[in-house]
Parts: sequence; structure tokens; C-alpha cells
Amino acid sequence: MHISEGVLSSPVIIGGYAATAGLTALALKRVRRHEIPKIAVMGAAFFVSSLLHFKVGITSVHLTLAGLLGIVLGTPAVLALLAGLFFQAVMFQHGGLSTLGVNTVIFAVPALLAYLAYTGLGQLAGSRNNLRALIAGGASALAVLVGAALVLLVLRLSGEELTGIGFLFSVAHGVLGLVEGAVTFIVVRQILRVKPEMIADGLVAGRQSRSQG
Amino acid sequence: MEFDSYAELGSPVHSWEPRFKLPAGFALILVCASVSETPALAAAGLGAVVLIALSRLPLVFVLRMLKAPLVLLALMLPLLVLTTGGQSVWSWGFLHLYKSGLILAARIAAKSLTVFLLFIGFFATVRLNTALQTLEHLKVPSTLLAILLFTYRYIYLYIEDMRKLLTAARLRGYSLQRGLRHIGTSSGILVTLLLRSYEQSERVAAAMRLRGFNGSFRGLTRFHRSPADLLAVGLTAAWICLLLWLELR
Repeated sequence: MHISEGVLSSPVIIGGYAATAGLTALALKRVRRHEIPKIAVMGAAFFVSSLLHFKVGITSVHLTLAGLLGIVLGTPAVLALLAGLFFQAVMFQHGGLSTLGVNTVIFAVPALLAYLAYTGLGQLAGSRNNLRALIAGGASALAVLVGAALVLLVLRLSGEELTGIGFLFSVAHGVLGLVEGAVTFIVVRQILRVKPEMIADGLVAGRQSRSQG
Repeated sequence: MEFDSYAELGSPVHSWEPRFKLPAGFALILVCASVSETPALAAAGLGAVVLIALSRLPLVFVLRMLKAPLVLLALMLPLLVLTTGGQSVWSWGFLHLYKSGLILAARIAAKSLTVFLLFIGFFATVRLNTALQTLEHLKVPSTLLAILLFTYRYIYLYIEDMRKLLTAARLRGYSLQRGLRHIGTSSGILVTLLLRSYEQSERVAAAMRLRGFNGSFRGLTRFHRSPADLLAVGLTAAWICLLLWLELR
């Protein structure tokens, strides 16, 4: 989902950095010092996930993990995504420095939406972990689609000629959404079983399941 | 292969002090990514080539760094040429080659290469940990800086851990090429990686707090400013003004 150098127009580049600065400031306010290593762990997981490719039909997609990051970290996911994207740009030339702002928005907005969806609907699920994991999977599948829509939007804003390629890209990401949803379901179900306090609001759910067991 | 493996050469670009070089480079990259007029693009490209020549980075290294962006361009530009719409210069069946697509593709390719060359020139000539330390001098919030440093550290742990897990899985008949049929195993590898490093990060954080970690990192690099650093900043500023003039006139 990364947008590379040379594609975006200047208002989009500047707007992307402005939005990222706002999101970063918001996230920095919410971070407590002891959370730093956890955020970094997820940032590194995001970085590494782009190395895991799945073959789907004739093309191959890689996981984005944006939804999972939102669900695990909450608002500070913005910082993990910013760090992961920064190192992807520096170490692999994946994305780019001028597009770092836009790329952060493309991943951070879906992550925050996934977080909101998961915490909102997760309360309904109570301590039924499979249902919680299912909600997490659905939220992160949705996150991929929102991300693809954002890519289409910034390409369109950068030039009407780019609409066609943005559309092709979005269709390809419908498939990725399904894969990502399935992976998130499995991952969250396992985390809820083994280490529930790892998830943003998992402390509550963790205590509940412990007091029951 | 490391991004900063040629960060210790003695060229003028290498000896430019990072507290000045990195902000100047960032500003120049933003301007070059923003221009779209042909003369401005040509001047930007020329500047990037001059920078790379001054930096004395080996050509093989520069080409290897450019490989990923070039592959991406090779995948994207043909699609772009066929999808932009407008006046068609050639058609075959339902496929049309569009004039506006060709112009846009050429512009994107030129701009992309320019920016990546600048990026390599400015950032591959500093060690990555020095660059991060520079950010501290540039008043990047300490929490964000700590997250960047920890992430950088964990990336290597992850890559190492993942290699081990993938080897173990492959011995048991797993293959990434099979893709979706092994999605359960792939997710399992991901869960293992996450849980393992999460627990490790908790222990690391506790150990650091016990040793008095208060959010600031210490490094061995000492920065020294010289008149040449300011001259280089001046040259970059002049270059930016020239590009903006070519773009806006």
C-alpha cells in the first residue's frame, strides 16, 4: 500500500505531512513511558510483515498489519506505523521520504478505525474470545479496504490520470483484505488465549477470564 | 547488505555535519518531489547526479539501492500508460496507449529516480544510529526518538527470529509459495514472533528502568560545526531557490 516517490503532487505531500504531524502529536499525548517497548515491538512487526508474501492467484500480496496494530496498541499505533514506515523507506527504499507523511496517514487512519470498531463491538462480545477475535478479523479486513480507498483518494487528488491505476490497485486489495482478516482472527484469538493483556483493552478482558477460570 | 555500509568514506558529502546535512537534504527532497515543470525536473536530476558524484559512493552500491524502486516503476508505469485515458497514440484491440500516460510516466520516472538518488546521497552517507542521534539535536520529541531506536533494534531481532522459525517450518513441509493453503501456519509464525518479542520487550524495558533509563539515549558521536557545513547549507538553499524559480516562473 506504500506510495513511492515521484507520484504525488505537492499539495498532497504537504497535506500528508500536516495530517501526520497532527496524528503524531495526538498519539504522543496518549503514550506512557512504559509502553515504548511495546509500541516498538509492533512497529518492527509491521516492518517485517512486508517481507512475508502470500501467493494469491497470479499476483502476490503482503500483509499490512495496520488493523492488528490499531487493535493491539490503540492510538499509539500511529507512532509504531510512523517508525515502521520510516525504516522501510530508509532500509529498503520501500515508500519514500517525501511520501512518508501520506503513507503514515494511509496506514494510521485504518488502524485507528479498526481500534474504534474493535473496542466498540468488543464490549458486546464480553469475554467470549472467539467472538472478539472474529470482530478483530472483521475490523482489520475493513482497515485494508479503508487503506485502499485512501490510496485511491490521494492518487486522484494528485492527478486525474492516476484514477485508473488507483482503481486497479484498490481491487487487488479487496483480496488482501480477506487474507488479512483471516490472519488477524487467528493471531488475536491466540493472543487472547495466551497473553490477553497485550491487547489495547485486553486488561479488562484478561481479568474477566482469569476471575472466571 | 546494509543501507549505511558506505557511510564511512571521506568525501565532502560524508564530512558534511549531519545536523546540517539531514535537514538540508530533507528540504531539498521535499522540493524536488514537488516540482513538475520539465526545466525544474531536469535541474533537480542534474543536482542529484552531482551529489552522488561528490559523495563517491560506489556505482554498484547506488544501483543496488535503486533496484527496488526501479522494479516498482517497471511494474507500475506500463499500467499507467494504459489507464490514464485521453488522446490515444496507439491501440490494439481494447488496449490503448495514451499520450498523457506516456508524458506522466516519463515525469514520474524522472522524479522518482531523482528523489531516490538524493535520498541515497544524503542518507547513505551517515550511519543510521548517528542519523537518529541527529534527530535528538533537531528537537524531535524524546518519546518518538525512543520508539524509533527501539524499533530499529527489534527489526534485527525479528529478522533473525523469523529466519529461524521459517527454517524450522520449512523442515516440516511449510512453504511460503503455497500461499493461502498454509495461512494457518503463517499466522502461527506471526503469533510466535509477536508473543516472543513482546515478552522480551517487557524484560528489556524493566531492565532499562532499573538502570535509570529516563528517556534520553547517550551516543559516542560528538558533533562539530565548521564553516564548510554552513556553506553547504547555503548552496542547498540556493539550489532550492533555483528549482522553485524554474517551477513557478
